[in-house]
Amino acid sequence: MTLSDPLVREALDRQVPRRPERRPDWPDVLARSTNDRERRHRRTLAVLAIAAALAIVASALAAAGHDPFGTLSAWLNGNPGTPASKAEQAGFTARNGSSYAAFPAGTKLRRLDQASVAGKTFVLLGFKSGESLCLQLEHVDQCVTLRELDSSPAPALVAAENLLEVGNKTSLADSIIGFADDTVKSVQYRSGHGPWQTAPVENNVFLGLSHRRAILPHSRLPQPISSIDQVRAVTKAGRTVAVPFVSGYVSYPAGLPTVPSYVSVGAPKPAQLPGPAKTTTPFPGGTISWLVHHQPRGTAWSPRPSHILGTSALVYSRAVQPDPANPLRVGLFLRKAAGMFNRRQAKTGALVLCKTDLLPLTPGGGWSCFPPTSSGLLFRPGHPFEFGGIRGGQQVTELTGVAADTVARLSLYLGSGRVIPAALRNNAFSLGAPTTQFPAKLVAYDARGRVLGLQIIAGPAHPVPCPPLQRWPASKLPATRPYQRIDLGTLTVDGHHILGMTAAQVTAALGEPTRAAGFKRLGFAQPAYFYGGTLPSGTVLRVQFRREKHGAKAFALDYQGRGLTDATLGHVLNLAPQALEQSLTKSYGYRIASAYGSAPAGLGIPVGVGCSGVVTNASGQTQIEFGLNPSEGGRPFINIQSG
Amino acid sequence: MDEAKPKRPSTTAIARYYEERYHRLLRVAEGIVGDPDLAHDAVQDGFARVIRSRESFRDDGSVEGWIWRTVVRAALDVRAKRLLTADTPEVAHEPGNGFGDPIRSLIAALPERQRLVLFLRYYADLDYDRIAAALDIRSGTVAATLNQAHKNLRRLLEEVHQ
Repeated sequence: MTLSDPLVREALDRQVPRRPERRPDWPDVLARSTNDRERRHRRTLAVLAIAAALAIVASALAAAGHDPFGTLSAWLNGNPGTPASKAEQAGFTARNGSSYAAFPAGTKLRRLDQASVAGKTFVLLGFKSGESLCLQLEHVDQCVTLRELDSSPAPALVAAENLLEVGNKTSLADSIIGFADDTVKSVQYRSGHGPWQTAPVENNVFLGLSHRRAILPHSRLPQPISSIDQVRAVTKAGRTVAVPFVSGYVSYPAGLPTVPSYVSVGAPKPAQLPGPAKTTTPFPGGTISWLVHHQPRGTAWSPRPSHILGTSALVYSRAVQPDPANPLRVGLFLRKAAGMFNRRQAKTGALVLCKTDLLPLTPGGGWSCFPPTSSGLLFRPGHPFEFGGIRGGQQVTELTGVAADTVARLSLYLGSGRVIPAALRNNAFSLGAPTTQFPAKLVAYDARGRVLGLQIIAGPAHPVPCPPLQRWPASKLPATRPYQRIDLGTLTVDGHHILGMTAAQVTAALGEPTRAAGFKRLGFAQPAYFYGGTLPSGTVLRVQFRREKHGAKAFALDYQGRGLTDATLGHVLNLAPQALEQSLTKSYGYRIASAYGSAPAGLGIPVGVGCSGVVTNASGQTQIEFGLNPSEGGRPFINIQSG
Repeated sequence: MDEAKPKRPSTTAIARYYEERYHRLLRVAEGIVGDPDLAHDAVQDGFARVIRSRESFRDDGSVEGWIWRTVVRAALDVRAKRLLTADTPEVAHEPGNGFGDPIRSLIAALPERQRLVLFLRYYADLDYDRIAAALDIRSGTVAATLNQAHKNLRRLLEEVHQ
C-alpha cells in the first residue's frame, strides 16, 4: 500500500498536525519511572493551580452575579426583527427537513441583525423554539435555553463565536453572536490587549465582527477559531459589565493577565468540586434492558453504514429524545464488536453499546462505542454511565450520554456552584451548561438517592503567571564555550555565519558536534547537531538543519544554558526576559512581534512554550524567540531562526 | 539502537531513541488519544514503563518494536482512562456544528487495528516489520490491514466530499 494518495495524506495530517513546539522531556520520564519526590512536588503544584483556578472562577462569577440577565422585550411575542427572506427561509426549511431531529415544521426564521466587514454583509437570523432561543450565522447554529439566560451572571450572554470566511480564502472575520437584555446598549469585544470594538444591540441580540488576514486559508487552519479574548456589555446607563467568555478554550475570568503568563490546564479531584466526592454504593455493572431485548422504545432509526462499517454488525437501534423541550435525539445502537477494542475488553461478536447525536439542522455523523464487560454487560463495574462526547460551541457545553438501568437521575455540579439536572429518558441523557463555569462533576444517583458513580469534566485553561528568572551570581556562571559566543546583531557564532551553512561548514566553524542526528534517515527526522550534550533537553546548543535540494542547511540555533554570551549584552540567558527584549530592540533594532508573556496561549507564536516573546528584524526574515520554559522549572532559552 | 542484534537496551540508548523519535511518538499517541497534552502524557508514561521493565526485556524480539508496543499500550490506557474520567470517548467531534472535524470522525470510524497500523505507518514512518513487532501481529497482516484501512478511509472520504 502507498500513502501517496493526497486525500488520505491530507486527512491524516488534519487528524494530527505536526507539533514542533512540543519538546521531549526525558527528566520527566525518569521521574515517572521512579515516582520520585519531584513528581509528587509537581502534582502538588498542579493541585494548587487547580484550586487557584477554581477560586478565580467562583470569585469572578460572584463579582458579576449582582447584574443578572433581565427582560428580552423584542422576543416577548416570539417574533423579533423582521421575517427572513424567502431564500433564507427555504434554506432553513430544507436543512431542518433533512435532519432526523428537526425543529417543529413551520418554524419561522427571523432577521435579527446584520453587520458588514471588508465589504461583505453578514445577517444574523434566529427563531424561538419551545424554551430555547436560537441564533444562526452562516453555518453556525446555537440555541440557548431561557433557563440559561435567566442564570446568566451578566446582562449579555455570548451564544457562539466563530471564524468566518469573508472574501478570498485568507480574508477572515472573527465573530461573536449572542443575546443582551433591555438594559444593554452595545456589546464590546477585543483580541488580546487591542482596542475594544463595538457591536450595537438590535432586537436583544448582537453580532460582532472583526476583520483579520490569516497566513493560511480558512480550510487549512489547524484551529479555525475566533481570536476574540474578552467581551463586555455597555449598559444604556453607561456602565460596563464583564461578560463570561471562553477564547480558544482559554478563559480569562479575572481579565487578561497583566503580568507575563502562560496557560495551564488541569483536571481537579472530585473533592475540589461541589457535590459528592465519592460513590456511596458500588455499581457492579449494568445494562439497558429494553435495548438488549429489542423493545421498541423511542422512535425507529437506523445508523448510517459508516457508523458501523457494514450493516451486518448492526444488532438493534432506536432514537431517544431525552429532553422534550430540545429536538436533539440520541441514537442508540447495539453492534457486534469487531476489532474495536482489545481482546481483553471484548471478544469478537460481543454486544457493544454505541450512540450518536442526532442534531437539528445537521446531518450528524460522529458516533461513540463503549467498552463492554467480559461478562456481556453493556456497562462496566463502577461506570453506570458513559459520555458520547461533548459537543457544541465553546460557550455552551452540551453533554449527551447513556446510563444503565439502575441510574435514576444525573446532576452536573459546576465549579461555579451551580447544579444542573440532566434530562434523562429511556437511558439517554442530555444537558447544556456554560463552559465558563467548568470544570464540573457529573454524578449519577440510583432511585434511593445513593451515588452510583461520578466523573470529572475538565474546564477551559486559565492563565498562570510565568515563573521569575532565577539569576545566577557572576561567580557561578559557567565558562563560555566557543559555540556559546554569539553576536545577536550579526547572528554569528564565534565569528562565523552558521545559518544557511551546510553541515560540513558548520563543523568547520564550530567543531565536531557532541552528537549528530537525523542526517541518515529520510522521512520526518529533523537533522540536527547537538553541542554540549546529547539530548535536546540537556544540550547547550542545537543547530537545526532543513533539507533542501542540494543538501541540509542550518536554519535555527536553539540555545539554553547560562554560559551563552553576546558581545554587547553579556550573559543573555542570565537576563530577565523583559530586559533581554528591551536590549534586543534598543541595541540591535529588532521589532517586537509578540511581547514577552503577552500571548499566554501561544497563539500567533510559531515556536512557543508559553512564557516567551518574539522579536524580528525589519524584513521579518529573522526571528528570535526567547523566554523561560515553565514545564522545565523556568529554564531560560533563546531560539534564533532565519530564512 | 541496533535492530539486527536485539539485546537489553541501556537507559542511555532508550533516552536517545526517545529524544530522536519523540515527535513521531507524539503523533501516534495523539492519533490514539485525540489530544496533544494527553498524548505527551502517554509517551512519557510509555517510556517510564520501558525504563521500569528494561530488565525484563528478553533477547527474542525487536527493541524498537517493544518500545513502540509499550507506548501504544500506554496511549490506549490513557484513552481508556479518558473514557472514564473526561469528556470524549472514541469520537469527540461532530460534523456540522461549526467546531467539529468530520475527518476525525471518519478516521475514528475505522476499526482499531486499521487505525493503529495507519498511524504507525504514516505518523511514525515504521516499515511493515516494525509495525508488526509493535502490534504483535504478522507482517503479512500489516500489509493487508493497511490496504484495507486505505480503502475504507478513501471510501469514507469520498462519501464526505460528495
